[in-house]
Amino acid sequence: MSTLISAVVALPLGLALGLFENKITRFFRPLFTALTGLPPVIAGVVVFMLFSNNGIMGGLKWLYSAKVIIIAQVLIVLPIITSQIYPAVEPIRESYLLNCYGLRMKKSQIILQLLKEVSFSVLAATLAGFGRAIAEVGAVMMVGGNIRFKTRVMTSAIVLETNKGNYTMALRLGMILIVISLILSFATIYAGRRGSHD
Amino acid sequence: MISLKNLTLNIKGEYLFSIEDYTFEAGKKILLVGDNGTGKSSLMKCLINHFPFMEGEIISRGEIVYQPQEPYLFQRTVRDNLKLSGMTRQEMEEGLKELYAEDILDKRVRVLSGGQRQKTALLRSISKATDVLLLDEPFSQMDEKSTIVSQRLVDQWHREKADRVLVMISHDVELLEMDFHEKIILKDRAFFVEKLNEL
Ligand SMILES: Nc1ncnc2c1ncn2[C@@H]1O[C@H](COP(=O)(O)OP(=O)(O)OP(=O)(O)O)[C@@H](O)[C@H]1O
Ligand SMILES: [Mg+2]
Repeated sequence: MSTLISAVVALPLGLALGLFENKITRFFRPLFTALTGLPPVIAGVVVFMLFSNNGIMGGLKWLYSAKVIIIAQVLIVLPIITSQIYPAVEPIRESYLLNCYGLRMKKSQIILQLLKEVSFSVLAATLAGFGRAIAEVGAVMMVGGNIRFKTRVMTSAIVLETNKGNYTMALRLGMILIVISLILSFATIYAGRRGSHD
Repeated sequence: MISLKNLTLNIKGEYLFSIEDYTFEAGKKILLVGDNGTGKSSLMKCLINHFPFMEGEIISRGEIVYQPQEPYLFQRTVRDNLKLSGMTRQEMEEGLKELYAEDILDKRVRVLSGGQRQKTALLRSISKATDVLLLDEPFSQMDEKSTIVSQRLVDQWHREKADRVLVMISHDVELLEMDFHEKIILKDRAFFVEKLNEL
């Protein structure tokens, strides 16, 4: 869910950062790249402060609900996806735009076609973002707590089972997570490779 | 028709050339020649308003289609590219066949050879162009027989309407059999026009 939201926001953002060359994009490109290195816990702290009772958004009483988890995860995932899309656009920008203008293509057509040009990078970026989202535990537990059927996710469940001393269960969950992560990693690499060879 | 008035190309202090007054007249075929780095490609980019280091006035009538020196082919196949510029299936097949490239229709553009890329780009440009066509070294990587057929295709395009304008950059002038009306020469940081054939 958070990955989907992030991808929807990151897509136009990444394309715009790659397509336009001006002061704004020159400022935001390194910013988004820097944000990918941010420890996820920081995102947790920020969201926690925003939504805690004294925070600006405290009135919403969203803390310890699925909504804040999504918000925290978007904060973590968005830069990851964005910062993987714009580098795919940047190297082809000059030549691509020159050809599009040369062929009298409409603006909407130029953007739509660009999406096709970098579609594999977009897929790879989204998978990478999703992998990061399901692997996250610190920020999620901080803002979401670990409430059964509500805000408990794979990783927080593992933490809980481990704390209970129920190592077999924790290991089983861990195995499932590893398998999901591995599948995602292979999918990401595969998508990336298709993108660079096609 | 494209008119240039007091055009000066000056790239960050590197002066290329200037043109006081020149018109690419309706109905004409114009050849643009000059050594490497004299500014041929730059001049073409000026004509479609895509060159930042330029001063002066450009007035144009009609829609300009421009094929860069290094055409960018879109994902994913040759067919996709030809479809994008509105060609029918039959036109694609016939066009490629004439250019000795009937086997590339469903090839991915990444695997095309240099000449095959240029053939794809040329068909795409010709089918898209209605008034003015600018071609930057369109045959530079084609073999001799393909170059000759390509010229025929370009000529055919030009003849379809009386006021069509063709501007073409080329280095291998000895291969050209196109009866240009004028030749523009860029040399020693200057712009010369040579009349070849009357319209
Ligand atoms: N965007 C740019 N920034 C800096 N210099 C440029 C730019 N565009 C062109 N130039 C310079 O302008 C000069 C002319 O380039 P141009 O591509 O127009 O040459 P050309 O006549 O087409 O050469 P060729 O026959 O090799 O294609 C070159 O010295 C080139 O380095
Ligand atoms: Mg050139």
